Amino acid sequence: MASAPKDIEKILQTCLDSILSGRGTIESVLAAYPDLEDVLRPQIEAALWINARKKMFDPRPEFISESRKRLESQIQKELAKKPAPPRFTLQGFLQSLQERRFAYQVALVLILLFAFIFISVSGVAYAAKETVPGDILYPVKLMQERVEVTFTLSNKGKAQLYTGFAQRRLLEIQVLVLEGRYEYLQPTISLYEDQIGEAIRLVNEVARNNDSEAQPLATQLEDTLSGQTMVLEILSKAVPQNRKAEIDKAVEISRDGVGAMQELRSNITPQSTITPSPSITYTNTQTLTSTITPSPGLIQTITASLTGSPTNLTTSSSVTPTAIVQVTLTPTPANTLIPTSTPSPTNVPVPTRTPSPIPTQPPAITEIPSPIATVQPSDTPTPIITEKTPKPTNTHRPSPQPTNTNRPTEKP
Amino acid sequence: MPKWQDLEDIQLIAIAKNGEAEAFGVLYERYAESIFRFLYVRLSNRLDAEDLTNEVFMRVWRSLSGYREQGIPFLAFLFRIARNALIDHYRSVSRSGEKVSIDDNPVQDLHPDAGEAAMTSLEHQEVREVLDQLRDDYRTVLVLRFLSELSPDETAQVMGRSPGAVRVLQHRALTALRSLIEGT
Repeated sequence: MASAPKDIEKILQTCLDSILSGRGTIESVLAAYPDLEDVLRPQIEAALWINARKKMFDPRPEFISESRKRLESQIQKELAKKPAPPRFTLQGFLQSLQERRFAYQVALVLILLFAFIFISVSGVAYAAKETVPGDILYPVKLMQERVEVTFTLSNKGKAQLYTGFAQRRLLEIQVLVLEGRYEYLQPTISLYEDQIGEAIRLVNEVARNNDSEAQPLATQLEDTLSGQTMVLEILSKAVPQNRKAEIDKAVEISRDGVGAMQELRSNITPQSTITPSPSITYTNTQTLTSTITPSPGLIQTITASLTGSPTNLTTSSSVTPTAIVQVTLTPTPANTLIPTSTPSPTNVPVPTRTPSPIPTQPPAITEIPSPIATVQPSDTPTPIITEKTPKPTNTHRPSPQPTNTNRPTEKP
Repeated sequence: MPKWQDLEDIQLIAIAKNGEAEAFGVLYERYAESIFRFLYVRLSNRLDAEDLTNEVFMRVWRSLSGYREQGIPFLAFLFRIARNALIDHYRSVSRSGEKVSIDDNPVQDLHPDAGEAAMTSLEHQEVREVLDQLRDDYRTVLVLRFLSELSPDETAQVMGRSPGAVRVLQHRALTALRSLIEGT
């Protein structure tokens, strides 16, 4: 009778059970497996060898009964020591309150400790907000950003976060340039590049899943990057020659980002469905950037002023050797400047400098350069600007008509 | 009215948990012999084995309130406590100067004075020396199966292995034991 090797353990078990229970002998069980006798016999004999010596490990005959009595009496003693379940009494209740007071005190101390730690951490986090690379608390700022990303679940939210982070990097770059801390430029620009790259990737991800959300997201990122491009171009002219390449790289990064977003938007929405409209944004940009004159060497001050009306916008910039960055904008077109009627494309003032407005996209308020922090145009018009904003009529909406330049005026 | 001896382990445990020492006494009588052998094969001194057996059951009693049948079978619970008690015993002995470990050399003579040595039979010594040369899991499976007389399923429960794994282990342990016996 042939058995597979894997059955040997089972057969051995059967043989041992039979012998140990007294139902069989070694010879009788081996007779059932003549082919396996050579394998089974030594094993069964070994088992019987140890089993035969079991008696020498037996306890003394009286041990179990004696020790049982001893054990039971020991248990009774332990049970007697245990207090009976307490009955409810006023005294007991007050005593338990007294005992709990200590627990409450410990809890209070712990709460205060946690509050102290929380306030300390919050304070550090708040202080870290204004830091720039090279500051002691700057790593805290970056850590906060990582935490924000971790706790943001949607790709849309993450894309917006990275857009905001890139904006922070740009502000840091400006501060570094203004303070002459050029050694930190390179890592900051690398981070800027990474964060823009991540924002673009996430916007593309959103576009793949949901076109309706991707459109405003792409517009937002494009607008932000357009503004950043402008600022970086100004900075590029202001930094020493040996640092220019680093800023130029940042310019390239933001320009590429604008291009990527334009391409994405064109894929999302067909261009023919949107009426072309003029934008004054890039006219201002042109004026601003063309009139700025950087001083050689370290930039000390950038003073920029924007003057004009909604129909006549001029901007002048000059560099003066003071430590103040001042941007005056008088007035800036507000929302009312956005042409909603359909102007003739032939009358549109042509932007003379990149980024060129996409004819398919109506100019948004975010595209209007206005001061942010130091030299960056802000999205928010100031009250002064709104005062001088021409009021549109129902039939005629003002459009930019530069009078100081040879730009074509728009006839509604 | 049923006798204590007729009750299942789980019933006795429930009664013992309510403070009935006699119910626990029945459990003691049911398993004390197996535990004693399990301990004595690793100790040279019978009195030590007796004391430790009592210690094991007192520990079981004290931990009984936390024992849940759904967790591990009572027998496995019992042998786990026995093994821990044995380890603690070795530790207390090693602190007093001797080096012993449950895995390294668990059957050293802990009190090698002349009177006790005389009490230890030569055969007892021979078995301990043979078993001492086996791997720890081989020694455990042989002790549980052929000295403590647990069934293959009970051995599997105590060792935390499947019955199939225990059969394989037993087969290998017997092969190793056979070669040791032939060598002596």
